[in-house]
Amino acid sequence: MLKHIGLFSAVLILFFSCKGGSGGKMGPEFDIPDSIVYADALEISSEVMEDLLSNVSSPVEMAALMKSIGVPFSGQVLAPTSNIDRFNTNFKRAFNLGVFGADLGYLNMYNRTGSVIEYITVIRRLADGLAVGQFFDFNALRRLASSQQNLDSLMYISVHSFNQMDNYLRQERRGHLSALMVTGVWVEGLYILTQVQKNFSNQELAERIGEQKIILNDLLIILRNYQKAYPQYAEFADELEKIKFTFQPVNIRYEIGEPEAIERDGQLMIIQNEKSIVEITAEQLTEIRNVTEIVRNRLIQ
Amino acid sequence: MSEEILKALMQLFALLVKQDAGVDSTEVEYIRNFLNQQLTDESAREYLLLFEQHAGLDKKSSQDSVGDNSDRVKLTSVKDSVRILGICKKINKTLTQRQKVVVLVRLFEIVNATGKFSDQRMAILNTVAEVFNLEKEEFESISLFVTGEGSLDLDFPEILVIRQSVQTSTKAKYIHTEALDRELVILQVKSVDLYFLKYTGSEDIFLNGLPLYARRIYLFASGSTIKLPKGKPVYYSDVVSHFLADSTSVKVSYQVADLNFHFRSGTIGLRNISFSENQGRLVGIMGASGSGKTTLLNVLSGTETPTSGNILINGINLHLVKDQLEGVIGVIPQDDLLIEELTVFENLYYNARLCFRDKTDSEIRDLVDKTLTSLGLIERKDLKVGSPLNKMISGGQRKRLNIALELIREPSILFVDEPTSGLSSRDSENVMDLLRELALKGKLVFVVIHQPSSDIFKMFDNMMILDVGGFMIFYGNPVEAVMYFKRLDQQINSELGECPTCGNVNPELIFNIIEARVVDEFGKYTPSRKVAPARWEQFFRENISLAPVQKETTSPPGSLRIPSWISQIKIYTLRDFVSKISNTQYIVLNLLEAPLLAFILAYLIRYIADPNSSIYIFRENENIPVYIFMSLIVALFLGLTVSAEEIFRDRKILKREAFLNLSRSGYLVSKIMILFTISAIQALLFVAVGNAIIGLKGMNLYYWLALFSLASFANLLGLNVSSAFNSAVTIYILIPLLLIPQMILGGAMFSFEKLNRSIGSVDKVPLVAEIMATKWAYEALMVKQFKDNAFQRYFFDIEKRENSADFKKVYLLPELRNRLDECTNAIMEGLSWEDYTAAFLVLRNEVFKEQKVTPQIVFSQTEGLRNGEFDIEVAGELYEYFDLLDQHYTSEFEISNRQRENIVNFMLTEDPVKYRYLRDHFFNESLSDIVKKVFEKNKVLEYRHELVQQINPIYRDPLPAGPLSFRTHFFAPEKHFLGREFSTYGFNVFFIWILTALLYFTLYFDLLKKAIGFFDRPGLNMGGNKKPVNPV
Repeated sequence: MLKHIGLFSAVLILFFSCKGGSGGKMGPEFDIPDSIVYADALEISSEVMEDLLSNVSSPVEMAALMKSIGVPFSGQVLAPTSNIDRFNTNFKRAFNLGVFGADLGYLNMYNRTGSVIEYITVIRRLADGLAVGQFFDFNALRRLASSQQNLDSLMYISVHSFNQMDNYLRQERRGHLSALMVTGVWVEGLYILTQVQKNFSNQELAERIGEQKIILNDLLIILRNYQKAYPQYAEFADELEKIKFTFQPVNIRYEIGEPEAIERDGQLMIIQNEKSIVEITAEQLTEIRNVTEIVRNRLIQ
Repeated sequence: MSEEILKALMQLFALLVKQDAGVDSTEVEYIRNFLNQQLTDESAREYLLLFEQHAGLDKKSSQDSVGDNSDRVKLTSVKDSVRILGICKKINKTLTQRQKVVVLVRLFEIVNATGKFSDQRMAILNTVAEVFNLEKEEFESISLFVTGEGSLDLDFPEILVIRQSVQTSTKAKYIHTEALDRELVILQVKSVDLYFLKYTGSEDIFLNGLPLYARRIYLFASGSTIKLPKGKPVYYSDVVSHFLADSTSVKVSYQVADLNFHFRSGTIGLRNISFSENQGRLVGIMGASGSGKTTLLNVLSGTETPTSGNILINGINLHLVKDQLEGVIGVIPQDDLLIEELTVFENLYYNARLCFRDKTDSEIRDLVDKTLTSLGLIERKDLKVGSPLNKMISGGQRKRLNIALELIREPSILFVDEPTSGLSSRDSENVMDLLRELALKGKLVFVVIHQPSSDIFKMFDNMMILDVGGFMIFYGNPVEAVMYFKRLDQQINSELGECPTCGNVNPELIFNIIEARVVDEFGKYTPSRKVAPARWEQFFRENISLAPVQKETTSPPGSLRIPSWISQIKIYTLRDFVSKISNTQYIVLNLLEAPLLAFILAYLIRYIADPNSSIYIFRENENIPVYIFMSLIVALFLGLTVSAEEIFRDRKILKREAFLNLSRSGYLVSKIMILFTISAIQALLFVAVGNAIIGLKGMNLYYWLALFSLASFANLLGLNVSSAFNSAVTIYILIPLLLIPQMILGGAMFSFEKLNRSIGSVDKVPLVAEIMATKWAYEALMVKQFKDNAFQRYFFDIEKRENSADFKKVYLLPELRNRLDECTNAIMEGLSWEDYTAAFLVLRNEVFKEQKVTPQIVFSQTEGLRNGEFDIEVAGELYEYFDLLDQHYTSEFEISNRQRENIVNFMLTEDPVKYRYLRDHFFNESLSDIVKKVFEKNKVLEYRHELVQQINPIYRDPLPAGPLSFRTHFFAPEKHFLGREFSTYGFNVFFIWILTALLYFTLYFDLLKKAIGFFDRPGLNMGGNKKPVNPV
């Protein structure tokens, strides 16, 4: 019997000794220097930015506005999900997460549940890629989407998920990604608004577009802040500057209205009402639309 | 004898007798007698006329010759000489040497009838002998035998004398008998193995029941018996053994005493068998079906151990001291022992190489050629044996070749089971001639025979007759047997053993008598026999006493020198290789099957995800995990089918090789080596074709090794099955039974977490799946493919750190905090210990684990936890500890996340094309989804007071419980054993080989067969063809 054991082990040794031989490394390789791998990130205090970010209107708000005005749904304005494979970096993921988030809000509002699942899937992939997937209850969302009811819940969970992701990223000192996500939402929101406005001329829509001038300025401040640590941000901000340029002629005035007394928590309070008046022309709108389309399409590639 | 020959003979006789003095009336009388013996009266007259014509005895010539008889020229006329030569040449062309010798003896006899041995006549006889190519010495001995009168003239070694008085001659052989007036003289013509008999006296002596005439020469054919007025009859074998006495040096005594054999079922197979034999005998065993012939043969040859009694070969107990008798015994079973794919020569050649260690290759080749020549098979030596259905050589040749397998090593004692069954009468006789020749050479040959022809029946020196229930009811001369039973049956002519005119013996007669049934009052046969077997046995004991034999004490020569283990493997391997390679269909199918399957599989599932694109992207092919699994199933299938019939097909040959004491492991190892080679080639072809089509790059060697290992495992599995079951159908029915569990529990079709609760497990692969080789192979390839592909290898380690930190922070710590809250609240509210035990145990276990994984973050109260001490203070510490862990994992995540990001960014700025190429052609999304379990709903589960990570198994390091615990969850990135860390791929492949080795041991000890045998009791073992025997 011993000789059999011997033979078997000989055979085994033979096999395993030749195992280490060829790793079969075909094709090109990367030689990655350590300095690249272990490059450090710059810490940025982001408390101020948090306030700014919270001013960005949620996609749901925008969509609700459109729907209330009676703008019809248009599938063409949505970002294509087929690009998902190109989003390999956290930078791309975070930005497009925002873009798809805006699309999801738009879809939800118009109750397009058929496409919702497709967008949920993509969002989930991106969220997982950023390790924030835990806030995205895929199964619950899918269930809600396919039941065609509970629209409010669907909406609520979507919005809630995005807020959680946003919060978590900032908590985890990944505020730069959060900023990108928010920017994504904003860019896509603006894009949808401008596109919709093209065929559905409406004063309120135009004003809402004009208001974005303020938000864009805020966003750019934040993004410029990160560009020292992350060079991509500079490029990215440059793109947004193009949109900002089209907003230059838009004029926003503030009118001070009548003060108003209201009762809150059992106390009488006097509030000074302030009203913003947006002055925007059709040409300006066309210019904004065109540039936004170009920038947005470039960024979602 | 053909007409032509008879004519030629008549002419020859005539030409011979008409010389010198002319034809004598005694000569004419002799011719008439001769013709009358051969022919009917009418044709005898016709031939006599022919004789007379040629001898010049017809009216016209006789008138001429009467007058001038004395004036005749004393020389043979030239015309006659030419005619004699012509006739002899004609005879030469048609008659065998034996027949020619008979013709010559007849010629002598006719001359001797008148005693006129003139020079002319002798000259003619000389010429005939010369033309017949007869040796000078034999011609002279024939001449002396025919002309010589008494033993004094005939004192030379070719002569045997049977007479009453004591031996006087020195060279001639001698058999003593009682009360005989003169002598019986027997001549041996050695070259043709013929014996002639003449009797000089005048008493009534019978040859095969026919009276002997004085001075006539009789052919003493095989099986003949001489009945003397008094005393024992003289048998052919007695005579032959005297002639052979000095040519054989090996002495064998074979003594059987009181042999009894009981089957395991309790039925009696043999009862009180006793007999003895010496070398040089051919012993037949006859009996009705179910009388235990084959059982007896098995016991006699030592393959079965008798219940009581013993067999002594030269004083050595066959069943107790087997090793001393190694190689003495040879067995030729009824089954075919030939390898169909090999040629006649190869069959014998490999057999011979396994029997003779000390012979060189050329010696063995010569020996094989010699044996084949002597069996008349030399012209067929390069023909394939073929199966009985697809015949290449005849049944008789097959049988002879089977006999040759044993013959070539010339064992001293040979057992042959029904050598003539299924053969034509000509083939039967050829085969039996062969066995008789062996006996004549001094071997002791036992033959179980069924319905022998008269000639074959008479060939035996002794015949044993068994009756139903294993009773021995006769032992002795076969022709005697007929008479014995006729006598007991009180038939007329009981003294006539054979037909007085044709010399035929009817062995059927014996069985007609033995098995005669009682007739009822309506003349119909009843099932009950006239004479029961036990009664026949009693008759036998009463009437016949067996003669004792010479007991030998020298140890018999073994003729078996088996080669060493390694040489056996070499021979086996070569034999198997040659037989496989000669089967073109087998080779072509085996070589084409794997690449063809690979093509079908890979081509069908080479799927392009983007409907608008025609470019195949490996990354997007969702079928890759299925491809991997199917490849494994293919390997398993191929491995199993290639081996499932191997041992089963060889089982008869194996039985024989076991009998020869050849190594079973040698056989198995050679078989395994051949199968492994086939599997290795098949796996190589499969991987080469399949991976090329599906676009799986850079991993061919690993795929090959995994598939090959799995196929090897299947090879062994197949060998086990083929060794354990006794029909091909059973084996093929069994294949799904072996394969389906391998598929179900392979890990690809069903998730291990979602199996039946009784076997499923949350934290480890279920135990049943651990013995599934497919599971190990699938896990090995999936993990290898994911971890080490040319794209992922840059990220795997970083991602692993990133993901485990993320899991800890996102899922584990919140769960722990929840439980801590629960415990704290319970204490605050003063609930009893039982209310929060479960939560506490989870906390405790997880904290212990965490201490092992991150020892840098210290928790001071570990000891307290271990002892179950828990209070608010400890809870507080735990909160702090969790916060620390949280911070630790946050930064861990951040670092690795950034590292990954840095690499990707670097790649994208360096060479985005290359990056995309690597990602598209080496990384696969669907495979990645599976090993990461992205669709898993439960991220973490509580199981036995531990929290078990359910997602990202590929990033989860197993925590070994002890040095021996090698079991892990599915898709673990590495394995642990004996405190060391192994790559999953290497460990899993090694484990498959461990399973394979285990299967080798079960195969070597035939455990499966034994297990089946244990449940399958009623079968009476022994090849499974035994019918239960009912004793009467």
